[in-house]
Amino acid sequence: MVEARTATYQYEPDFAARQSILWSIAWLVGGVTITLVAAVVTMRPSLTQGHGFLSPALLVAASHTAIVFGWLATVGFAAIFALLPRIGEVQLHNEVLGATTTLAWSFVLTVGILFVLVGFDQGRPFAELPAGADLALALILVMVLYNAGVTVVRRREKTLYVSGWFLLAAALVAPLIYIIGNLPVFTGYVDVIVNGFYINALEMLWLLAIGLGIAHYVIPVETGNGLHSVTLARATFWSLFFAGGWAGARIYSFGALPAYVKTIAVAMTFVLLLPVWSAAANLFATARGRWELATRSYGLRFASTGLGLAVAWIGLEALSAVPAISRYVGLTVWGDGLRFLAIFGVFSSFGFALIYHAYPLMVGREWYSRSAASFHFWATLAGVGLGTVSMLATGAAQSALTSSGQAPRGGTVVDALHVVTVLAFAIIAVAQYALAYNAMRTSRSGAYVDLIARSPAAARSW
Amino acid sequence: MKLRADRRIGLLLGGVLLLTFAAIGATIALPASDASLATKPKTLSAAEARGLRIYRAEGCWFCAATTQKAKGRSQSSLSTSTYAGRSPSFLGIERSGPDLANPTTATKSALVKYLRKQHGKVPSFGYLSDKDLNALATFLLSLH
Repeated sequence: MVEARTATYQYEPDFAARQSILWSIAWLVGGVTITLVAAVVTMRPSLTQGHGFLSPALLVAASHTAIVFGWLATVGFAAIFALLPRIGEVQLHNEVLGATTTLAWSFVLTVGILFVLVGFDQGRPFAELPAGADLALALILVMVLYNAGVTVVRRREKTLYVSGWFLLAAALVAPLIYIIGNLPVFTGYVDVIVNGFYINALEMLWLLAIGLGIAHYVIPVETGNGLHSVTLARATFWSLFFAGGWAGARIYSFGALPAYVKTIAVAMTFVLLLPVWSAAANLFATARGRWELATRSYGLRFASTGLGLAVAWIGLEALSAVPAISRYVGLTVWGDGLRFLAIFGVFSSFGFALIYHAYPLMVGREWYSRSAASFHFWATLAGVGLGTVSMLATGAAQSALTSSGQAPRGGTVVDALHVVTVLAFAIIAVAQYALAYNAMRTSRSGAYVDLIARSPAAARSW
Repeated sequence: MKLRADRRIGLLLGGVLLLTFAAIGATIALPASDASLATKPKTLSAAEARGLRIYRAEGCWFCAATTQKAKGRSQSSLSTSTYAGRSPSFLGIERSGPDLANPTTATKSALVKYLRKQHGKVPSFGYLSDKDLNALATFLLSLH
């Protein structure tokens, strides 16, 4: 057997991952701030009257981009750069390239968001950035894939652990999904289908895959238990990639699309219960007997919370895909509520799990403040819960108004619920400021970490 | 227990790519090649095309509806011809804004006047030039 080549790069291990985590926190803070401002301006458009670049819709587009492609994508890069080397027992192929890709990604995103705010909006949900920025971002995703791929090829541990499957597959499909979703060449109903595919694939094949990759690493390592079942993990992985690309049309089930496309989408949305529920069962079984650790391990706490929220989210997605329900809640804020739960609840929780687990190892210090970490956890959970309930209720109220022949945009109930949604965004924003403060103080003042006690060996014990 | 798929990364990634392309083929390529669904797009005048660009640039598409033909549960009445030739389609994912395909204001001058001021959660577009406001109104009136 040919001996695996080790990385030859001189930069210190985790340089790229650490930079990516810091960028992701910066995007998180910026993103929640823009999201809060967007929610307030949507409620009171007169606040920015006369300033077209601060109109509610453009602010919402900017907030979508900052949260999904700023925070979530960047923390995804951090997961790839941090966990693949640990699983493969080798340093990241090129730390400098990794850090540069994250830096370039953030620069292009910032420029792209500014262009959106001055009117270069492409007019597609989650694909608002101008074409030039899309091209640059797609190239950066290819560079991330290259770095991840070469790292895996050079690994010392030949059997790739479960997390590696998810992270590598996510890195592989990310450029493909991004290019298809942002190509401005489709027209009419095909454009609708492509956008549905894109949003769904973004959630299922990219962000959820990254999240499950994180969860399958953090939970075994933090609990010290080996993964409960590799067979079940295999079922999770293949069912996710089998069904994940087919369910996009459910997002536009209220639109004029071929009936069979809608039918496939509804059926596949139900199939998607399998990967999420099987992952939850597998990882909760993995942590059995060690739940007391969740009181002091915020990585474990956020990873298991992410799984719990994922179970609820995918159940609601399946329920909402049923034609009778979809007809009722379609064209309302209900869909936004589901996406809010996925983005701020599920995917963000997995991102926080990575940060709480890996950041101390990267800076060699324990978290500075347990109180700030605890506040971050509970405030985020409260904000996600409140926001999800208020948005779903708004959607139901809008639908009731529409059914009775009234305009769905106003009314006392809808306005009151919008205030609750703004409150939820405010709580979430304050929670993320606490995380940023804690991370900043940790790098300077946290107690030194016991690296031996936090060996990743447990993750490979299967 | 170590299966081949875990060690042979090419097999793993090949499987993922195969499944992704199968999904793209079945849910995008197949309906895209369905000739029975293809409809001739409506040709826009210069003013309507300018209005469409403003509609997109100002983010109107995010909240407002251009395809919802009537109040109530009307989406089943949509057909693929509703957004034929449009890129982007502006179907959107949320409908918290007004139904622009059925404006209560039916004349261009009245619509321009309406757009200049804020109405509830619909912001004022008074910062746009007269030419742009007229183009936007022309586009909106072309929807119904």
